[in-house]
Amino acid sequence: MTEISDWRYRIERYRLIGVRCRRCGSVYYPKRSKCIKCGSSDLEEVELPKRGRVVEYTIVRLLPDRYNRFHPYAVALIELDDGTRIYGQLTDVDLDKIHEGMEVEATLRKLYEYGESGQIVYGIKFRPVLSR
Amino acid sequence: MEVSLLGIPVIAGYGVIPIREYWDKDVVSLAINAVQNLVKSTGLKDFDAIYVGNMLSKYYEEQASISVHLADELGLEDVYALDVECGDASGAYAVLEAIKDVLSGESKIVLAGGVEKSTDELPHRLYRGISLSEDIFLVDYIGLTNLVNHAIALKMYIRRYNVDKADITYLSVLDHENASKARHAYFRFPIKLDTALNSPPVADPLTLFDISPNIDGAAFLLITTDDIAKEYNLNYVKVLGYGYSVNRTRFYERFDPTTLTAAKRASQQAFKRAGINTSELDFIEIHDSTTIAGVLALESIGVHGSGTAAKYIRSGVHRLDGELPINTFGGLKARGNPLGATGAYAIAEGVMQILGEAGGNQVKDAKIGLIHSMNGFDLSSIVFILGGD
Ligand SMILES: [Zn+2]
Repeated sequence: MTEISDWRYRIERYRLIGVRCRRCGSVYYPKRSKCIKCGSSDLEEVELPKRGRVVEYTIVRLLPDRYNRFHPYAVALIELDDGTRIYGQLTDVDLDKIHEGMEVEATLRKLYEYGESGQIVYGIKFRPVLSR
Repeated sequence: MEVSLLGIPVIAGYGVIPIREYWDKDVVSLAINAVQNLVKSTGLKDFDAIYVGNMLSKYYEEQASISVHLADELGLEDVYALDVECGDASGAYAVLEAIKDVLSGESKIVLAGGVEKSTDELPHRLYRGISLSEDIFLVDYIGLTNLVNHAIALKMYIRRYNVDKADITYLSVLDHENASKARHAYFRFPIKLDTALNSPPVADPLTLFDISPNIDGAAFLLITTDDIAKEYNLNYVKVLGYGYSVNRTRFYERFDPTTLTAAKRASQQAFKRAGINTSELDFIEIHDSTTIAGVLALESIGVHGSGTAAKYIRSGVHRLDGELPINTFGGLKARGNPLGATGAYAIAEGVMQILGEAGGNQVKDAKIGLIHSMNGFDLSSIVFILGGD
């Protein structure tokens, strides 16, 4: 990605904007142009729920330099409250305490920044829900 | 078998270099060294077309169009030169382009293979580089790396089939055992299972010995038809069948996450073209970029049922002296995984086996072998079935 593409994707990144199939209701994030369940191309933009639970996760220890300051971090397969599955990076979490079924919520965080232009890139990460 | 008026496509020569860290060489020089070995053993140095598989030279060395530079260095003129990129399956896809080229009648003698100069990058840039076949949105905005899908699939697999992780990691023990005798392999020493299990985590529960090293290498094949190979007095191996397919790129949107669907479809096509089934195979080279990838590949190409491959690997049936040897020179884990060259190495190893030129790694009576190569975690897969004359 470059500064330009980071800017282009900013809204779907900040607000978790995906697409929903108007025919069968499947939801995808990030956006895609065709539904892989029913084949329909009739998709509408939709804002995804901001809460879900961890289905599986791994702890990433060999990582790109733009994420050095988060080393090591967890990437989880998350099922959102509407059943949509996505990948999300976890934050504010003790890596030893992550578990399948753990409730998580979206939070806007700084991802990385560009040295020369100074542009800072924000995006959604997921943190444990402390109390219900 | 693939039938054409032009004859049967064959692989009539190979040239590989040992997989090492070549600090003093660039990507084109590595390719030249491998081609020189091929020229030396075949006596042929003129080609109608060259296909060069490579994944990351545009990213590492910022060198594009390797095939053209290679053609120039080799002194070739009026040659069809094309770069082929399909992640760590690039080398295998380059070979398929050559086969299709020969089958079409456009070219008669074709050079195809792959090259990768992985050590030109610092580790953190390398980790992003080898993740670049994944959706860049996920790589840059979520922190996805090439290992995440493998790690999550491993956990799902263990949970679903109640498999002992040690049985999966045992594949790296088998790989090292085979590589210890192979001159061109990177890790030429055996390891103990305990060492592998207790190595540092890289993407939990994957540890260092579950993943393959991204090192430097180059491997090239000579593709032509049986008639032309005979004309030049070259020993050859027939391409009995091939297949290829793609999978959902987003792992979390796959309907069956513990099946490598592209590998499954690719192998089914290849078996159909070859008119054989798994029971007729004498050896298999699988793309074990991680141990779990290798286990799932064995199941997906139909050698074992879902959830059972690891137990068979542990039992010894896939050792070099077993019923159905796999990764006869150490696979990706121990022979090494020079990304865009990896698939070409696997094919060259298959050719060595069938021609009886595998030295200390020779599988007894190796007549038919299956080669699997894939891009990432089955983003795409390609399968060849090779056979002796
Ligand atoms: Zn649909």
